[in-house]
Amino acid sequence: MFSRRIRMAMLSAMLTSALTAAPAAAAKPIPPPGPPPSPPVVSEPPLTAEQLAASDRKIAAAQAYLAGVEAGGNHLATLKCVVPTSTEAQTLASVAESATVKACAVPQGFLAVEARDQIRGHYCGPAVGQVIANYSWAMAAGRDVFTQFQLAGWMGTDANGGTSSQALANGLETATRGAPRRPAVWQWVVTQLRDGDGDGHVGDELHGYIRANVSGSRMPLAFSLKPHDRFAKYRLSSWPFPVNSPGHWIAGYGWVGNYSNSNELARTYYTDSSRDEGGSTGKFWDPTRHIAEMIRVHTGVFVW
Amino acid sequence: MRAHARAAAVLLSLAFAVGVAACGAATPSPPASVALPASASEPPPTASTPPASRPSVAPSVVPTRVPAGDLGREIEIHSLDRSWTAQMLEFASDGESILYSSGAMDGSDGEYAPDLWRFQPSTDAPELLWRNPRRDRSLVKIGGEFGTSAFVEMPLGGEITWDFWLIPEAGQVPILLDTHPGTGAVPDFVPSFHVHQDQVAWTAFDFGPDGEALSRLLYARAPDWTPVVVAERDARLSELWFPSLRDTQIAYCEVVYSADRTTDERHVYVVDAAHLDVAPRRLDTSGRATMPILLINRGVVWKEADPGFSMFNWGTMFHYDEETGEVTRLPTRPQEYVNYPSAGARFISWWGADTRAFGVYDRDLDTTRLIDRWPAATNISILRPHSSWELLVWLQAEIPGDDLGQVRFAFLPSAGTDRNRD
Repeated sequence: MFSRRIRMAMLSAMLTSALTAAPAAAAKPIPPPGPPPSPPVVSEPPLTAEQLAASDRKIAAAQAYLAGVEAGGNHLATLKCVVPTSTEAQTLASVAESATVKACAVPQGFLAVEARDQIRGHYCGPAVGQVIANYSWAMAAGRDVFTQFQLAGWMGTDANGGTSSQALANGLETATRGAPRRPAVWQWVVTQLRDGDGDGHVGDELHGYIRANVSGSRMPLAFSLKPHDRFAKYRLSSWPFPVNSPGHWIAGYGWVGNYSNSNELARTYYTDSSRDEGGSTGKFWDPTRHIAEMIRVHTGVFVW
Repeated sequence: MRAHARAAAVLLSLAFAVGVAACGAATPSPPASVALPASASEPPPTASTPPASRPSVAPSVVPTRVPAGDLGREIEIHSLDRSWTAQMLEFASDGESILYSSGAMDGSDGEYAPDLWRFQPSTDAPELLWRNPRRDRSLVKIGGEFGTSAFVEMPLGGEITWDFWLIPEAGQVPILLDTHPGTGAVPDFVPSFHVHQDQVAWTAFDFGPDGEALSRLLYARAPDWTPVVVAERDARLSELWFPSLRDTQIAYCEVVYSADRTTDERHVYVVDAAHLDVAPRRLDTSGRATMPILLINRGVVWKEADPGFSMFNWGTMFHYDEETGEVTRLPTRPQEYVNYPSAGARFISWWGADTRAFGVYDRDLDTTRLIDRWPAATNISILRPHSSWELLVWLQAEIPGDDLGQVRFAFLPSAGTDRNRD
């Protein structure tokens, strides 16, 4: 032990002298460090009584939908069923007419959305708005019903340096008003993600809300979270490397499986828009438990 | 250890000089409780031989719970003191020690993880491998093998820049191998890389001669570590990713995008850095293959995400038989979907989408092995497992929970041994 400590001390001394020296320049010169930009902090004002009431109504409607699903026995797959390995919406839709598949498929629901790349660093909100608006207006592949600049204007993104939850909801209200896929009775609301059943988790609540919104109302959702925080345990699959983010919007468009606290097989499907911002653009999924935890430790709210 | 690596490199060079593949059976390592100091009289390892000695493991927290998996009960699981890793960002196994980035030097309020640390299981405490003079940077990706370390250093505030460094040996001055040009015209994805036998292969984005963004696969080796461009693509059309080395062979992924970049094809290729005049060989037929690993003692595995999903997404694993060319699905139970695979001499590990269960694939037994699974009443998650040679490292965290979690590690059974079944 003593000799090991001496060895460690000698090593430390060597390292102190060696490691504080300037690194050896090899292939390229070291660029001068630039000042880090200050990420905009978008305030999330508390929900008004009217907004809370609207949120409560939407939660009640979702719970009613889920109760109906459970009463019909559609919330479970039989034990004889094989878990599918493909989750491509089109593939699943094309075989969904099969009675066997209907009986055996793991419960799931998807909407036909297309990912969009955000055109500015702080335009994740407008990019999510574009994904949701294009779906709502049933736009053809590759076409946009509104530009991200239009959506940013409705969401106040440039004025505020980002998009708050209520601003996103307001923008979606404008962007989807009169759209053919928007339900007749519909209002975009901000909801606080809470542990309603007191089981210590919010993932089960979130999975239910996604299921009700996607499969019941046939509408996407929007989640605000820190995509890959340096201190966080979970990260979005779309963000391979850590970044100090003030927050990021993604669009939820699908779900798979029944939520359980004993595993993480229940999944949330989303689009991301962040290819040039440190993340990726495209379609992704992550366990709903991970998404819920990332929402919980950020603003704790989502838009649906 | 370094003498062995150099001897192996010399042998490898000789093998290439006469055109002989330098693959052999792996040498079993002694049990974890036995310390065998390396000596000059030991035979040098071949290209596919693990280090001759496995370090004895210093006292660390031994979990009192009996793991649910048969492999979990077979191995000895150790942990790092939480105070060492409270400011940790990334970590990786280098086969004999645990590399990690941390801001511990800046106190508990450190926002960044600028320094590279190493914990060798035979020692009492981690050692500082590199103290970064730029305290507002973080090491976001780390890798290494038997004392040779590489890492990507960058700010986390959104600035478009990164630097890619290599430390050939502990105590040596880092070598800057690559750097981002610092403009938004070039994608800012950080390099993916692999260190093996005094060599490193990496992918990076850079400017081309006409100002266009390029995606490159590069390679360097001791002693001069001069970067060599192995392959280069117009980044508007395709990208090169995820190199994996074995001897001088490099497996990598090429992503070819459609004109509007809404779809892509991903293929796994193998090229020989010692024979760059020979065209790369494509291994997959699916068009969805990514994150390849050249396995020690032959074989290639890769991940495939479901159709329509990004290559960074969760996927399933496939195995390529280098003798027959046959591609088969690799079981990953208890996981249905995995990501970021890594491999040692005998076991293949991965991040599991279900962090409540923890298992690996055993190549010797040709089956998956469960390490542990946690009941619903607990909030335990297993995050970011990584293996190199026989050392498997992971983060065990309680979620929700305030702290980062605890780094745990185990030396897995060696190739060619099976203590439970002998």
